[in-house]
Amino acid sequence: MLLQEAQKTSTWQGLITLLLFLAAFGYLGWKRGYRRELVTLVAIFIGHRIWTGSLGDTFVKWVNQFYLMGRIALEARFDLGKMMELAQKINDMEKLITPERKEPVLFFTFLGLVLLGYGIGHAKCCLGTMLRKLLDAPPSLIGGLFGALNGYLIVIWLFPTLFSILPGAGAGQPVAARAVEPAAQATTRDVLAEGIKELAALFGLDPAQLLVVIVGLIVLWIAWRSR
Amino acid sequence: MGPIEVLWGTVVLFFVMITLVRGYTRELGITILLLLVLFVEVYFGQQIETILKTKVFTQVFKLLNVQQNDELQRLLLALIFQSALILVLYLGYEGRTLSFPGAPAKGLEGFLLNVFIGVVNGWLFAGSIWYYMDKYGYPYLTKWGLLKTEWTKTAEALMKFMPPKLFEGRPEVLAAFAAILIFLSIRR
Repeated sequence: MLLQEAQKTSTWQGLITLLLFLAAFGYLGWKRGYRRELVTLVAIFIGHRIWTGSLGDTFVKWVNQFYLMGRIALEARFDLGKMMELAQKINDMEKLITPERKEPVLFFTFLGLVLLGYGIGHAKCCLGTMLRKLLDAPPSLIGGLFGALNGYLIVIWLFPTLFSILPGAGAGQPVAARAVEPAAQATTRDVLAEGIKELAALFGLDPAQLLVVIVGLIVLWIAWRSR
Repeated sequence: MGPIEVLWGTVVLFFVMITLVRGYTRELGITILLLLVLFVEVYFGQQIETILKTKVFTQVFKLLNVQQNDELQRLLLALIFQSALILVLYLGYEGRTLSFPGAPAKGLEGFLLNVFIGVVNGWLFAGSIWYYMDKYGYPYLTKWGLLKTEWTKTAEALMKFMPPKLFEGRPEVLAAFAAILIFLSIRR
């Protein structure tokens, strides 16, 4: 019973933290406009594919190829003969992204792409000015929704186990041991799913009904601005 | 025939295309009509069904000298609930339409809003049609080999999200949304 209570409280804490994240990103999206948020969404998806998907291997392969090509060209001082000679030893050369470095490089590429996604619509020089004008959109709810979606993706991918909804499972163990105990961790998605259930129960609805009410509120907002 | 959810998705897609052509300010009028019909069907559904079964069908079958047939009865019930939706949809598109006076958003924002409202209308309409077919056990469709009721997991999951199913216990939510939309459409 006590464990159940603690679990419920923890779910609420997790949900509120998550909702605060979403609200912050949503507000950012509202202010930035939906076009900038769409660009960010694309950047986040590409970044994630590079970090965890098949694009990562292609990315590493390309970076290493360009690095080695550049290195050969520089070492041979752009002498074609020497370049051909060095190219024979390409397999012995150290690659820029070694298998040990692959993981952190891909992670920072993801982070870099996310930051680029957020920054690209605000650049104030050269091509950036053109892009800024192209991406300018008035503050709107759509921007807010895309912003919240971006925030959600960032949170679930960057902090997949940030929120714990099973505090009792690791009780009595040192904090470090609890942190690695898989049973004591719930993913952010679990927190959201559990939280939605709790939130819906609060209004006497089931989660699907709550979802429909949210959709309904968006429809009302569209109707409001179409008056 | 392919999976039923593909057929359902295609109908929803038609609604999206219609909304893209007509604009969401007009399609919001259809949303109001669909919400109202659904409210009536969900709120009075049980009473309507009882009256039809006990009073209307028995008389009609007797009058036409047709034997009481459960499958035929289920078919008629499904058709009656579905035709109310189809009729209202037809009236919504035909003649003077109920629409919102504002100018629709342009560009990508307008496109996204059109898609959103199209999906909502498609879900309200196609979802309800599917729900009533399912509720009455797809009468004659399986018998005539037009439909195989071996559902995929997606179809089973989707069935839980069909509008009448969702609002079985809370039909007043449908009326409340329709009322607010009507209020917004007449208040400038």
